[in-house]
Amino acid sequence: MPTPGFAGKILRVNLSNREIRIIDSSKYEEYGGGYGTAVAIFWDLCVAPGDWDLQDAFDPRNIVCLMTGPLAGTGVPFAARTSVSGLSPQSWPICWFSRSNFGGNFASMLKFAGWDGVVVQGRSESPVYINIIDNKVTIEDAKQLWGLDTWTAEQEIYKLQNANTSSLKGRGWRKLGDHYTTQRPSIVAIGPAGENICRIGSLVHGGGSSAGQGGFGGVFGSKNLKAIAVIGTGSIRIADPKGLRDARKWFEKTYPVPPAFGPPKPKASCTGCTRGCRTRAEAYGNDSDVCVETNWYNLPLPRPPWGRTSLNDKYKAADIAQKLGINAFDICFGGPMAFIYPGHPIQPAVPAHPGSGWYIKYLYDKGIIGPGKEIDTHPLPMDKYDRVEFAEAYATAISNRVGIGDLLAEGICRFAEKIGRLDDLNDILRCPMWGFVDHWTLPGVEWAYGNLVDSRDINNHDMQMRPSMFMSCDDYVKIMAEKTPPYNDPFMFDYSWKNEQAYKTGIYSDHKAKLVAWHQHYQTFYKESVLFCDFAFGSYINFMTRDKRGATPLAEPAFYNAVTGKNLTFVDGIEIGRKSWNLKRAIVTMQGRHRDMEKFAGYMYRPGAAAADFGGDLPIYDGKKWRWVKSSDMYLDEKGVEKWKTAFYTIEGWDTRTGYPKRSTLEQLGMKHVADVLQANKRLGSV
Amino acid sequence: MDRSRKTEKKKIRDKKYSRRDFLVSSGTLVAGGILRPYASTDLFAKTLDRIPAKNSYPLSKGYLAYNSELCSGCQSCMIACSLVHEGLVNLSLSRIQVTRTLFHDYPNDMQAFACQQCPEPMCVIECPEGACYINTDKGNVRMIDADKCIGCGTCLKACPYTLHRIVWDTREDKALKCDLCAEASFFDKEGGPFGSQACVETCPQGALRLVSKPPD
Repeated sequence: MPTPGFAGKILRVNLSNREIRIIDSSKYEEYGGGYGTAVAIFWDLCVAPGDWDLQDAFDPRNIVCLMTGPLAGTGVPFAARTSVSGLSPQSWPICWFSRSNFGGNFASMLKFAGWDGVVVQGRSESPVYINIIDNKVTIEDAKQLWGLDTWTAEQEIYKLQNANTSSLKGRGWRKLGDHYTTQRPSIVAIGPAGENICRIGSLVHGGGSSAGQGGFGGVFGSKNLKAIAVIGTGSIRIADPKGLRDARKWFEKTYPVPPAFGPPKPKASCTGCTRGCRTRAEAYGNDSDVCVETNWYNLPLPRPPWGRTSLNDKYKAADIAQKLGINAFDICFGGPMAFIYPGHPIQPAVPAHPGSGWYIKYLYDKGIIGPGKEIDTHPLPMDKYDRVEFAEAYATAISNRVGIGDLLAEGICRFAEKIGRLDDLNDILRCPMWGFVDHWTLPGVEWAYGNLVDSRDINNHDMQMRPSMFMSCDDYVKIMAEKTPPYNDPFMFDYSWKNEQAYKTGIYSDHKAKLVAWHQHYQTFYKESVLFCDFAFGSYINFMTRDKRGATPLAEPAFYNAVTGKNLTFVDGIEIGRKSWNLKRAIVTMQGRHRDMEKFAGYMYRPGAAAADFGGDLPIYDGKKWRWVKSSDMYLDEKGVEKWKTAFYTIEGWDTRTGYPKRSTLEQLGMKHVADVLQANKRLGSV
Repeated sequence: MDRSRKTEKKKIRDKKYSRRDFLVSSGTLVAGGILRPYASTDLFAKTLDRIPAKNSYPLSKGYLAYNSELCSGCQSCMIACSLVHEGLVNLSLSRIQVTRTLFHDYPNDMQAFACQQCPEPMCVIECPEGACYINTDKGNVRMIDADKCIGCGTCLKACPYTLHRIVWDTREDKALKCDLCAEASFFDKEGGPFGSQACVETCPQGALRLVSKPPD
């Protein structure tokens, strides 16, 4: 019998030979589920056999793993997400092993169907979709679905499965699998962007729960996989039902979560969640949350912080992106908060999130691209840039790879590379690492460093908001230290960056290396494997509580243990995260990752790098006392970053010369087999 | 469940339907109002034992009310329901069903279905075993006694609502229905119309509440 919270088995589908197999989840339970499990499966299926070079994300040998966490579908709030991982086609210059995730009810439905995850490999000769009804798994023809947008495809699958409410049989109940159900299938699908193998194709579930970053929609497209539909009628065992309800009540009462951004209602939630951060089918913005998908078409104002596009137009654009199945961050027109610093010498007018939507206008205004030029803007109506029709034309051209859209479909950095403008990375092309558009990387430097040593924009907002207007700096640092066991080191939160203090306790110090290690381990286990939502976890500061303290590190193990019956401490979770993080490091090492590659884009080392400052003043320790200091003028020092890297690799137990994991580290984590493979490939760290 | 037990159940079910059909066709069944000729038959005697006044049924002291405009479709109510009644999570065993029809107009995209605690509870009236009954100790909530339920399915057919509010438990081949948590084994609170209901308590949006009169 599987551990409570786990379904016990993982579905493995090979689309090349149509083989359907079962992986025993317990084999990977030590990784905690979700992304951790996916990392281990990827190692076993793709790396350990050693039969390919792990470079091309569109190679049929690449696998895409959709994994649930042990808390999905159990009623634990903020824990219903589905992890997606595999080689990422969006990642540049190398398709690093990477991840994304999405909310909704796909993960819970997969668990109810009796599966902890789905691993897809191979490539079908013709379009198909995978249909899961409890234990019955079929590969269905999807020729009639190919070419449809994500919403239409989902509705067609409802029809194919006779699952429209109006046509339900048996007075509303259908016998499926072991039980009767009133539910419709949960579907994750790709749109034209994925079908056309865009590197920025996303996976869309429901109306607007999407896995955008990474380009896994393109991976689906390369496999001729239109969708995965699942409906489950089974049970999820809970180790301590009363304890779970008590934990939820305690969490709701003790740690109220601030309401979501955007219109107060109507709202929709992921399974079991208390917040409701997505819109309902009221008009536009169907099922999208108020984040990048409802802000990607948001033209920056001349002054910060808000864009100038109307809510209605933004919601229309959200629907366009969701239907096409395109990663809204890469094609962003400036972002929700367009902070502009006219005084900056390098980028006097670059908004916070300058995706390709902003970049092409910049190039057009400079006369670099345009109708009839070497790089023709056909079919984009550049004269209508300020209207939502342009957003539609833009996203459609990319998704269908028409005209300049064919270049942009490669992602913003590959686009810049193809038109010979990689030098823009030194100033206006704000992609700090691996081809992902800047996303609050500085001055919250743990985000920037996270990107550097990970494979993508880490998208981990939990430390971004610094309450400098509402709390003393001493109190902030004290609480943050309390909340980050086992280190509990206040200097992890020193953001000194201008003088020697930066090297002693600030952003180039061992303390900051420790913070980034903790943050990555926390994220790997609690946010990617257990799949707590970034909108609520980690929860360090909470102004709605009496003592201003958030739910971390109490809530995570409380929920985990009530569901699984284990006796996990918070620090145990950090350690599991460290294990999965090291295994992931081993994968990218096998792909060619080396210390020398971990260097930021040029603009990060120049004034103006922190133009996207949003999180308030930063805590700075001047050698005697703590104080809040506005740090939106922060930029990095190359020497300092190199020093920081050495400190970070040391803490992780990696070779400081190469960045390769060391045998001692891997063996201490119980991964001798990984060390053996690295050694055989001359990728094992020694120094 | 083994085959012989299922066969035996089918026999019982067939036999009782035959008797009912006979009553209807011979005119014993008098149409109209709350007059229930079933009352005069042995078949429903056990049910009547639990109902104090002939031909009238005590109203439930509580009803679930649902506001689709507030509902976020999180299904926390369904999870809570199966958790407090069954000790596990299973949407199919939840006595309240919430469906979301994506791409449908607000607020009709969300719908919830649970027992309405009918003034004239057809499930109670038609249950051949008296397993469906009105629990006068628990505020007249309409309930199913699992020990008496033989799995004949009569209550499913009797329920007047489309998307019948009886939930079929295929593990035991028995009927389940909302009892306002009057008898929820894994609920740590007093349930029923005078107590708490797990779904109401768990709903984070205030879309569910208990009311004392039948909701419109």
